[in-house]
Amino acid sequence: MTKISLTPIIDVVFILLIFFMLATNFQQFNKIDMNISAESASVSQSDKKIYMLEFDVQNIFSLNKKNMSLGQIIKIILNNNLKEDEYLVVVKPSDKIELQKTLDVISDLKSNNIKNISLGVKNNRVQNEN
Amino acid sequence: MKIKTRKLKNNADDNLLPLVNIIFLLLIFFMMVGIIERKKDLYDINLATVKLEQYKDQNKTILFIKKNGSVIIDDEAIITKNLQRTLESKNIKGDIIIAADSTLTSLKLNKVLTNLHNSKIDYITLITLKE
Repeated sequence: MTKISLTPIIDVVFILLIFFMLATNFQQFNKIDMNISAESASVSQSDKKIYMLEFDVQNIFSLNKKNMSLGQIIKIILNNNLKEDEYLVVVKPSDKIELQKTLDVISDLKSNNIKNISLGVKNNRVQNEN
Repeated sequence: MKIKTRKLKNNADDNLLPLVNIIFLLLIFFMMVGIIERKKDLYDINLATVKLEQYKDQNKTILFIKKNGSVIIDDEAIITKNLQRTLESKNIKGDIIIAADSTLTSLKLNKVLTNLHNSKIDYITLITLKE
């Protein structure tokens, strides 16, 4: 009986192994779902309690134009005990804020069970002139 | 006549068996565990990182925003001012997935979002890396 040499098998298996090592992608993605709300739209949603959360590069946060820390803002929103459809948090970062910072803030809000979050956009014509 | 008896050689292949076993195990591991998918071409975009919900592949349009604010849809670079027209021509409605650079400023993101809002896209999914 002819004996099959193992060396070619190992060659093939090694090639398969290298293929799978290269083709496999372990990278996992996360996601954040949110609404976009224009300034005009957020004002018109008068049936909901609107929390306008603004922040700038110096880490100065404000809720409805009153300066306070993010922790205090979260407390205020949570203390109102509103149902998810009774409020809307509009996050409005200043122009120079990087996306990572914005997402960190949104992530903080979401991890504190504040779900109804919208990203505020300035709805004017200047925005389109690029 | 003297008959030569061939000595049975010590088969060197025998020593290879444990090696083959390990390689096969590694092979099975990578086949089973690995999610083989077309690696997302992120166009040099460094995604932000968050701890929230895990993203699962969806059959939705992905809009890539580079750190200079330029937009890519379906492998096609688009000028921001033409974005609304492009979205309409591609018949992209409803929600959309956005892969934006973590260093993208709010001002540049705002321009894209305004165009989306004007195209009646008010619900977005931002994909990020897992923290």
